[in-house]
Amino acid sequence: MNYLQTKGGSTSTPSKPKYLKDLNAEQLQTFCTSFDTVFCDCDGVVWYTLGDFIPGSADAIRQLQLQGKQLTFVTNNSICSVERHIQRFARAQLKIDKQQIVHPAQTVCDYLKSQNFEGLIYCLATASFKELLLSQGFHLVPEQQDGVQIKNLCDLRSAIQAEHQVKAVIIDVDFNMSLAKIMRAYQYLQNPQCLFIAGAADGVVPFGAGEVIGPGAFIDIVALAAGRQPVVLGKPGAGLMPILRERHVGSPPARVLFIGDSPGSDIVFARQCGYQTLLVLSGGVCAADVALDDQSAPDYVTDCLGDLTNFI
Amino acid sequence: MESAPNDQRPEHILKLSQEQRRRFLNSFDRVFSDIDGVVWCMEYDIPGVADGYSALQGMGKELSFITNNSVRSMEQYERRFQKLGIKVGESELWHPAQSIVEYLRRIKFDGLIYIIASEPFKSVLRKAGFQLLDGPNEFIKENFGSLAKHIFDREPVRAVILDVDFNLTSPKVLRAHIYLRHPDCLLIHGATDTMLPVGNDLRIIGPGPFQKILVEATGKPGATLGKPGKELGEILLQHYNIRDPKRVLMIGDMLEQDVQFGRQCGFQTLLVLSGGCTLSELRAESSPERLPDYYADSVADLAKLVNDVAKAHV
Repeated sequence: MNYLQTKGGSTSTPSKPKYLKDLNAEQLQTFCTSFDTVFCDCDGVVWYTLGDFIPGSADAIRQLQLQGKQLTFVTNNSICSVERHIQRFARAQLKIDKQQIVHPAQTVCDYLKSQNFEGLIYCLATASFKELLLSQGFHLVPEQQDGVQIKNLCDLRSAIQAEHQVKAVIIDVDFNMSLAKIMRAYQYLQNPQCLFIAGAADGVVPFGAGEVIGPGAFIDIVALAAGRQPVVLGKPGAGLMPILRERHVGSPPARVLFIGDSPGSDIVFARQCGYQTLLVLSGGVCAADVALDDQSAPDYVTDCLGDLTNFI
Repeated sequence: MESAPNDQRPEHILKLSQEQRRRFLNSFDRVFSDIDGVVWCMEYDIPGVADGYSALQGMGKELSFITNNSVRSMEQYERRFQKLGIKVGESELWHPAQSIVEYLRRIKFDGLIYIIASEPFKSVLRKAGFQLLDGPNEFIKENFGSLAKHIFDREPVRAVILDVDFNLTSPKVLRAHIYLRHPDCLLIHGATDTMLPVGNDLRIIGPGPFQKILVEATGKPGATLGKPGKELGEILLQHYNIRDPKRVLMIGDMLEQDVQFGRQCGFQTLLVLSGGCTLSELRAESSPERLPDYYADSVADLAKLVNDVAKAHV
């Protein structure tokens, strides 16, 4: 409750989520003029994780641009590079600038540079994430013979051997997170000088019909074993907050609208930032699962991003 | 009072008076003993333990072993017991795979199982006639399409079992979670250790934290058939038809897995310092449910205790 009072949203009272379709013309008008900045998730909001644009979303983005809203895409998807995000937008005739995309791999690189980081990195993430680090001059622990079956203690010992002098452990989405990798990360983190950084840290991710377990669950295991918490630079990490704040210096958090499909990572995170929140149901979460009164309850709900054009 | 009151610090069995020793030895008929850190340590034997067990057997105590380690096969256990000269029948050896078989039979489970565990563990279940699915057993392609292909599966799985798996990967955990969305799909835990000693100076993260992911994602607490699981306790009480749990002595080297388990079941508890717990860790333990009634350096001390009492009797 205390939490809700400190929230800077302009939606006055911590009330039940409002469905856009239930608002009258005047309320919609008020809603539309209540924000200048829009932070928008991509997967499940702009396009389906596994495929095409969600019908109507490109038009809605165009309309937000026409209305002069400051538009930034805040994705947790490092499987797809910043360039590929831009290309994907371009295919729908949307001109989105590099600066308009907040992407965990890029955020992690920026953070390392801000720390004047030098040294070897143990990175548990996708190939595209690692390529970005390498292209920006960072050095990674060479890949193990990944996927080798561990049959006995001898195999286990060699699979978890952490012989390198590692100065940072970075964890993001790793499609093949394994016990051996977690053990190596844990061992590197025994050195208090070794940085611990996480990108995307969703506990669960909307995928298919519902939610699947996300990278946050595995990051927590490393954190618990190592007895220390990472700097989390993807959603819903506190480390991302100052980075987003710099993007709306002129307007207060209450005049920011955050649009996402994940109650656990988008909405909880945005509420902590004091932003207004709009949950779209195009990612996998259904109306019955929308929380009514906890930290993951959004201010507004609608079926998909395209509704912004339909209703407004 | 036959056993030490709970609010007292535990006593070393060799520091008990002659009368207390005699009373202690007469206060139990059955012994449940842990194995790793008690009978032997991973890569070496603990001197004198065979004498300790045979002294107890000589007094007519019933002896069974209860371990959380299903990574070793039954044959490997038998060979090592034989080498040490400890007499124990196969039916007196309990490990999570075995306990899960007994549990599934008791609840008349008849369905498909998805399992994350070691090969020896899986073979116990297969031998008992259960149908298992597992995997993916190699790394998957790094994209969402491949992830979807590996974790969304329409097989009618009605139980997910999670024990120690050196080859545990995230697609396995994600796949388990999808099966558990079905309201009738049971969650069954073997060992639940957070850190697991697997060799000299080698500890790995155990299955506990991964089980916690599934518990939190599904809201199903699951049944636990390793120590200190409630369901394992119930199976032992039923199997041995134990009416007075106070007349059972649980021997182990771990405060949580052995002492807490024993206390939960109403057994008397003896902690041995030959494995995973040091005297200073015992002294630092403040939670009453993890404080043993007695402690000893190792099971070898029991031989000395029995001999001393016998001599004094003559």
